[in-house]
Formats: sequence, structure tokens, C-alpha cells
Amino acid sequence: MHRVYFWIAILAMLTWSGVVDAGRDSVSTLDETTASFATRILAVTDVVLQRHIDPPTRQQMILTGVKALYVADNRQIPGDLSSRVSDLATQVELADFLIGIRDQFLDLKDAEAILTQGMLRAVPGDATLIEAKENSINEQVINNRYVGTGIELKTNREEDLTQIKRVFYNGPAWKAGVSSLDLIIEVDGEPMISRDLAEVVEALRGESGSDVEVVVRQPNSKELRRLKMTRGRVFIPTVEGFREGSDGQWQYTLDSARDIALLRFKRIGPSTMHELRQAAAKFRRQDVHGIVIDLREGGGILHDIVMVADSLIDGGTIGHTRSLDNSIKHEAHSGDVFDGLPMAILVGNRTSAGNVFLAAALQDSHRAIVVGEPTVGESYVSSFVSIPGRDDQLSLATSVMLRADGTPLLSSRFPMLPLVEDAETSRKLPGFIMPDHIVHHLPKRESSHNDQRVDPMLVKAIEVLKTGESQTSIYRQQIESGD
Amino acid sequence: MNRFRLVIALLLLANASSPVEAEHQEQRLRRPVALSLSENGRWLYTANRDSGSISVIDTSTRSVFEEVNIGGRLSDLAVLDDTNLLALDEQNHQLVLLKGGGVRWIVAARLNLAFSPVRICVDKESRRCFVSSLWSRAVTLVDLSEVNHEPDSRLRVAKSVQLSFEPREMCLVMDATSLIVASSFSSSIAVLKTDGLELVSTREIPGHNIRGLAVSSDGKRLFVTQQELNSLARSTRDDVHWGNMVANLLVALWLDDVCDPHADIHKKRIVHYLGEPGHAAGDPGPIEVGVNGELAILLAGVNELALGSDENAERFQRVPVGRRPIAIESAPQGTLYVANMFSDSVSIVDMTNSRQAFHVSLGPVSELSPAELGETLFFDSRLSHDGWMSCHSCHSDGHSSEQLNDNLSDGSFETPKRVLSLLGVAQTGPWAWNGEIKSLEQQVSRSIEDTMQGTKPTGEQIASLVAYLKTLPVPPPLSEAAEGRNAGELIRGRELFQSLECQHCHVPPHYTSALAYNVGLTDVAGNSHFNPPSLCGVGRRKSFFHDASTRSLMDVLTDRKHQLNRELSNAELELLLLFLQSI
Repeated sequence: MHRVYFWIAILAMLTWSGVVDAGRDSVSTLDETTASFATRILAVTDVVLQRHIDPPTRQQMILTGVKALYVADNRQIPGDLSSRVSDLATQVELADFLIGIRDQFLDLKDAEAILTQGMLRAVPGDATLIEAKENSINEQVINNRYVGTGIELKTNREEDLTQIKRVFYNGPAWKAGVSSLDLIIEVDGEPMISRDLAEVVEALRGESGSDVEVVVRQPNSKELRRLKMTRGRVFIPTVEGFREGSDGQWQYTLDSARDIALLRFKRIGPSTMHELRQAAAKFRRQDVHGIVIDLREGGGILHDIVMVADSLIDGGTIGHTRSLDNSIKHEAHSGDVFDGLPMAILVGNRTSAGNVFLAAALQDSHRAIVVGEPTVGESYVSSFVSIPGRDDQLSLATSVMLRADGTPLLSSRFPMLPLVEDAETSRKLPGFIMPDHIVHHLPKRESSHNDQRVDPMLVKAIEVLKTGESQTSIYRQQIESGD
Repeated sequence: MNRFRLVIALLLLANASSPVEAEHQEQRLRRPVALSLSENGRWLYTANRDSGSISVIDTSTRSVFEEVNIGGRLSDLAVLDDTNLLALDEQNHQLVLLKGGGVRWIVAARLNLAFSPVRICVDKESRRCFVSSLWSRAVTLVDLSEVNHEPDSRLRVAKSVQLSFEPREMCLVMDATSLIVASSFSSSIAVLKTDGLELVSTREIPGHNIRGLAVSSDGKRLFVTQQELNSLARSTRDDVHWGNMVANLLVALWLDDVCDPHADIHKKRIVHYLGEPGHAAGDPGPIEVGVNGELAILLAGVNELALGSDENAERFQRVPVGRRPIAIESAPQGTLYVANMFSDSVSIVDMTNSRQAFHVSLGPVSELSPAELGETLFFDSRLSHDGWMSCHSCHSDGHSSEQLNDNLSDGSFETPKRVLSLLGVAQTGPWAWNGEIKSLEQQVSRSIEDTMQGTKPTGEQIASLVAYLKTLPVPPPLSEAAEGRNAGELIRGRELFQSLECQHCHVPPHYTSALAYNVGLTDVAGNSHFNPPSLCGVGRRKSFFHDASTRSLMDVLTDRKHQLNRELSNAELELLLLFLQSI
């Protein structure tokens, strides 16, 4: 009974303030906020159904989301929840159900977020919601256009201050004379003691070209330094080397083998090709005879991955991607940025989808020997998709990937998708990469004070390059005979 | 004989004058496109395209001494010896021989050549020169053995050879036993034996817009300056910014492999990327190589001279020069002379000291018409983000590089399309592959902002560019250049074109029409309606359809059977092709 009075009161208030839209018919509700809540939730499910390459049903998503609410609120999940959800058919029924759920969890903080995140867990692949502001910064960081000061921060609890973990080479902070391990005492006159990391980041944020003044000191020093940084474009390399020099530049060649270079792909972005070209020029001068590319971490968007594959492989098919609308064959142009230098790549069980696609292309074209553990990463392609009526975006799986010969690189979380229709007889097992040399990580033990942990995969890769393996020589033979 | 000599001497005296004062110099648009130093290094001569004149610069006083009017539209010039100067007139299609010396020159002879001669390459020792004629697709060997210090001299065409592409840059290699000829548009390279002008090979390398050829100081490599479009990249800010879409290159090929028709020209190809994110090097041009491996490359689109060396071809010092520097020559002591086409000036760069450029104006410039202003913008890479490309970078000299570019002119990404020619573009609206763009102004504005990622152009800039585009005539048909047209066959070819209803979409005189049609082709995004491109000059094209998938006109008619409801007999195919090559 109280409920009815509650709704009447709301209606009265809203009608009086002119918010309720009497013309709306599809959602039977009296409350604008709650109506938009249902619309917002359903908009997310709509987008998933329309754009995901292998979507779950709407009911599955809602069920998982609602279960998450119960769990978050420490309540028992009703036994009939599953059947109630699967009975929901029309828009109206769905909306009403969602409103009903919202009512049950009015006191739960961030209920909508918990519900949404829960729903997304039912979606194969990593579906995530990206906030609007985060969007623009994310996109800029990802594409190496982030306007900022070029530092990586961490909290130093002892000193109750934010500390600089790393200064990016040639960025604004680097140019101003900021050093790694500096503690940030003040930003533009405001003391930063006891402040949250997020607050310090916010204080440092600003427009390109604008100045920010910081006071810093090294941990064991009393000397305060006042430095002025001009915010500008920050370039964070996507490819790292073996060791960072004191000047901030990367040394790619290994200390133990000066004619072998290590390229660690932290991620793949639009600047990666540029970084590879610069590295290639260095390698020509340094007489490098072999390259190891570490693909165990990171990843990137399909577009950038295809361009990197194109720059590493001298012609031929890279692979295929299949989305709801079409199937695309990705071909490499002739030309190889490293001029056919013997190459080994490292993969592991955390190698991501994009890197799996790249690794498969390098393996299938005989461009590189694969060393490491079989990959079990998700092998789909995500894109950012806008959600109608909302500022934020959804990142979800919109395509799946196939090797050059048509073998799918699907993981088991995509049960609905049939195998590609006209795949040629494939010698490979679908789903992942099988390395040419299987090597496992060492069992995790306490990290020693000496940062140099033995990396058995890297050791094997060096050995493979030095002995000049058969697959690499197939590639070289192809080059020599002009295939 | 003596009387003749006396007449010449009198004529030369009559032309004598003191150094030209700036106020007495005529106000005109010159546009220097070539330069050449006299043998003693005292005088620098520039070929001025628009004024049809040759400026004579005193290198010791660094000022213009004289201007010699010879008329026409000059495309190149070269010093043969201290009394003979050669110039190319691309309007009258002639090689012009001037006699005199120092500052005094008069036209002594004119030789008719295959039309549109654009580049001359002189072999002083063997007293001969080679001329590339763009639209004729020809290279001509001219015998200069009868050109001496006597007033009567004869120029004689010794031989002419047909190539399969429109040639421009040339380079004599291997002690002048071979001549390398590069295409003006896409990157074909032909090798000819200079004796007898025998064609040895024609090959493709990746890329387009070859504008510089030179041999390395150790004689082992051929340097090529050019550009490359990556069809996998998109015209987004990121791909343009990081140099993924347009690359400006210095390519080093192994000279032995270039000259050997059976060798793989790609095997030892090394690519050096010019420019970098933040400071690109749009439209790289001629390259001068010093005896110790020094390299000087003109970056025509960003108005700079790049100085570096063979050993580290990744780091160049950039020296600002004038607008659109497109010709360079080095003096023995190392001074570099640069002709700046749009500044009407010459830059002198002293290589020993600060390497700063000293500018010599060729004379007062008349006010630019909108089209003349438009031309300067068309070739200016600074219209694009960070200077990566100019309009010319894709639409070579107003034509097409025939490369694929993935931009939003067709409304979608992931659908790279063949770059369209802008020759005759004013008469062939609507524009873009889907025919959606209804005004040239709109296309120009979008290309600059969306494809070149440049700042929004001003109304004046757009109007100037459109005015310039309107001056571009359709390309001359292929067979107008070739010998022997059979009028009867052409008529029958035209009749066939009509009876097969090609005219329905490809309507004369420009062989295009206003609507978009579904001709059974779809791009990756599902676009299936295309505005028929004009067929003017179609005989010259190397690739056809929006995705450049078909590589010959014959394939268009046989493989693709483009809009044909029946098979054509061999005779019919021949007639149709002959007709298409004539439009």
C-alpha cells in the first residue's frame, strides 16, 4: 500500500515539474528515472544482440546480471528466478521486470553498475563498459596522443605522498628535469600530502600547451626542487627493448648476445609501425642477426595488428576475420621491415587475441619460430560500440579470427559459431597456437631482490636463433629463390 | 661562313646589357623548374616555366644578371658546354638550342620532339642527350655530335623508343652505358641500353611519384626518392600522424640488380623513411649525392632541403628554402643551388659553414590569379597534418598515382579505392566513387580535412584550388600520341561502343554521367552503386574499377565482361580497344 502512495507522490511531483512524458507508451511506468533505468539496461542488451558476433540471449544476460545483484547484497537467489527470467518475452515484460528488480535493490549502492557488469559477464569475450570521459582519454592514450606530463605514478605509503614510478623519455616531465622516484610535494601551489593518487592525477591534468608547476624531492633527500612542466603530447612506446638506458632510451640488443635484439610488444598501436621502422634502422647499423619478439602480453585493435603483421611479413595472407556482416581476407603487401632477419616469437597462456592472430600469421608464413606455451587467450576482435541514449560505449566481440588457411582461432567460449564453411583441410587444431618449441614459465617463487629472473622462453628463443632453425631457413630459401 | 659568324656576333652584341636592375625587371610570373650551372661555375641558369624565359644568375654577386626570353613553356634545361645551352619547351614540344656564352644567349635551333617533353639528360662525353616525353610515353635520343662552337649546329633525332608508362625522371648509370627511366605516376622503372636506345627491362617497385634518381657515391646503389600509400592504413588522425598512410621515402636499390633484367630488384631494396611524426617530409624530390656519400634531398612539399649522409640515412638536417624547391645542383666546392618554383627564387646553400640558405629573387612577381594561387596550394604539403602529403601526393601532378587509399570519400573505412584522376575533373561531376559529392568545393574541403587531416581550409583557399582544378585539361588520349591511326577502324570501334550501349553510362564527350549505377561490383562495406568514372584517357590506365582489381582494359572486357551481355569476338575486342585508346 505504501508503495502505491509512493508512486502517486512521485507522479504528482513529476507532473508538476513537467518531467513525465505522458505520450510515452512502450514502457509502462510512472517514474521517469525508473523508466530510463529500464531503457538504459535494455539498450545495453540491444547493442549486444545486434553487434556481438555470438551473443547470448537477452534473458541470459538479464539473469546473470540479476544474480550479481543478489550476490552483491548478500541475499539468496530465489529458486524461481531462472524460470521467471526465461518467461520474459515482450519489451514491456522485460521493462517491468527490471523495474521490479530495481525496487528490490533500492538500498544497494551502485545497483545499476552491478547489474550491468553482471550482464556483461554472460557475454562471450571481454565485454566492458567504457565511461564517456574515460573514453576520450583512453582513446588518446591508446593512440599515443595523450596530452599530459608523461609520468607513471604510484602511492608511497611510508611518505604518504604520491611518487613518480617512471618518467617517459622525451616527455614534458623528462624535459623539465623530473626524475623517477621523485615524491610529489606540491602541484601548482597545492600541497599533495595525504592525497589520493586519483586526486594527484586530476591536479596534473590539463590542456596541451598549458603549464603546471610541481615541487618534488627524492626520497632520501631534503632538497626541494621546483619544476615547471609544459603539458604536451606524451609518447609512450608500445615496443620496449631489453633494458632501459639511463637516458631513458631502450637498448634492444641483449647483454648476453649483442647480435640478437629483443622487442617486447607491450601493446600494439598506431605508433608501433613507426617504432619498428626506427628499430630496423638501428639494427642495420648494429649488425643484428636475429630478433625475438615477445608477444606474451598486450594486444591491440585489429586494424593496428593487421598493419604490424603486414610490415613484418613479405606478402601472402595474414588471416581472415569474420563479423556478422562479412568476411575479410587480410593480405600483406610485399616488403618486410626487418629484411628477412631470423625471428623467434614468444607466446604464453596470456597471449591475447590480437597477438594470437599475429603469432599465427608469423608461424603460418614461416616468418618466425614460435617458442613458449600453447595459447589459450580469447581470439575474437573487439570494437567500441556506441549505446543509443547513453554517453558511454561498449567494447565487445564483433568478429572472430581465422588463420590464413581458414582454421578458426576460436576459444571455447563461443559455442554458437559454426566452423568456417569452406576451410581447407587444416593441420592445425582450432582454437590456439601450438608453439614450435614448448617451454614453460618457471614456477612462481618469491621474486628475488635481483630483478633479473631467468626467462626460459627467451633462453630457448636465443638458442633457436643461434642454431638457425629449419623454419627460418625455409623463409630465407623462399627469399633467395624469389618466391 | 664568316659573314654568318659576324652576324651572330653583331646580334650578340646587340643583346649585350649591363646587370639587370630590380626596378627594370619585368613584373611577371616565372616559376623556375630547372637549373644548370655553367662549366666555370660563374653563371647559374634557371628555366622559367610560366614566363618562357631563362634567368642568368651571377653566382659571385648572387643576383640576376640577365633574363633571356625564348617563349613557350619551359620544362627543363641543361648546359652542354660553355657556348651551348639546351632547353625543353613542353608547349611547342621542342628541344631548343641556345648559343652564346656567359650571359648572352640566342636561340640557334629548334628540334621537334614527341609531344610533352619534360626532362633532359645530357651525356656530355658522348655528345648526346635523352629526352623523356610524358604523354607520348617516349624517350628520344638526340644526337648532339654536330653541336659545337660554330654558329651552325644541327640537332638530330637519332632514335625514339616507346615505353609502357609516362616517363619523367632519368639517370645515366654504369658509365653512361645504361639509362634508367622512371614513371611519373606509379612506380615503373625502365632500363635502356644507351647505344641504340634498346629497352632492356620494365619493372614495378612499390610506391609512386618517383621524383629523384641518383647513384650512390660508391656506385653500387641507385637512390630513388618517392612516396608510398599503404592501402591497409586509413585516413585517420593516427594513421596519418604516425606515417602509416603516406610514407615519404628514400629507397636504395642495388644497381647491378636494377640493370640485370633477370635479377630480383626487390631483394636488396632498403627503405629509409624521410621525416617523422611531428615533422613530416612531404613530396621528396631530386637528390644530389656528394663524393663522400653526402646526400641532399629536396622536400618539395614542406619547402626544405634535407642534408644527410649515406651512412646514416635516417637523420637529416632540415634547412628551410623557398616554396616548392624542385631542382638542385651542386657546385664543385660544395655549394648547393635550389630552384624554388613558387617563390620565383633560387636558394644558395653554403655547405661549409652554417648551412643557411641565401635567397636570390628572380624578379618581381605579378599578382597571382586564383588559379595560380591554387596551383601553389595543390602542391603544398603544409595543408596536411604535420606536412605528410599534398594533393599532388595522391593526385600526381593533377592526375592519379593509381594507388589505393582508404578514406571517407566513399563514406566508409576498410574500403580502399583507386585514387581518381583530377584531369578534366571540373567537367565530370558529380564527384567521388559514389557520386555523392555535388560540388568541387565540397570535395576539396573534405579531402583536406578528412583525408589529409589538415586544418579546415579558408574560403579563399578552396576557391583557389577549385580555380586551379578547372584549368586541368583531360589527359591526351593514348593513341593520339602513337603513330598510325586508322580512321575507318575508329569509326567502327565507336559504333560498337554505341551498339553495346556503353554510352548509356559513359556518355560522350566526357564519357561519364551524373548518376550512380549498380554494375555488379560491391566493395567490402556493401557499397554497390558507383558513379561511372570518365573514360577520357582510359587507355593509359594501369588499373580499373574502384578496387583496382582489374589490370588491363582487355580484362575489363573479357575477364569481367563489364556490362556485356555477350562475348565479343577478337576482331570486335580489337576495334573496341582501339576506340577506347583514342578517347
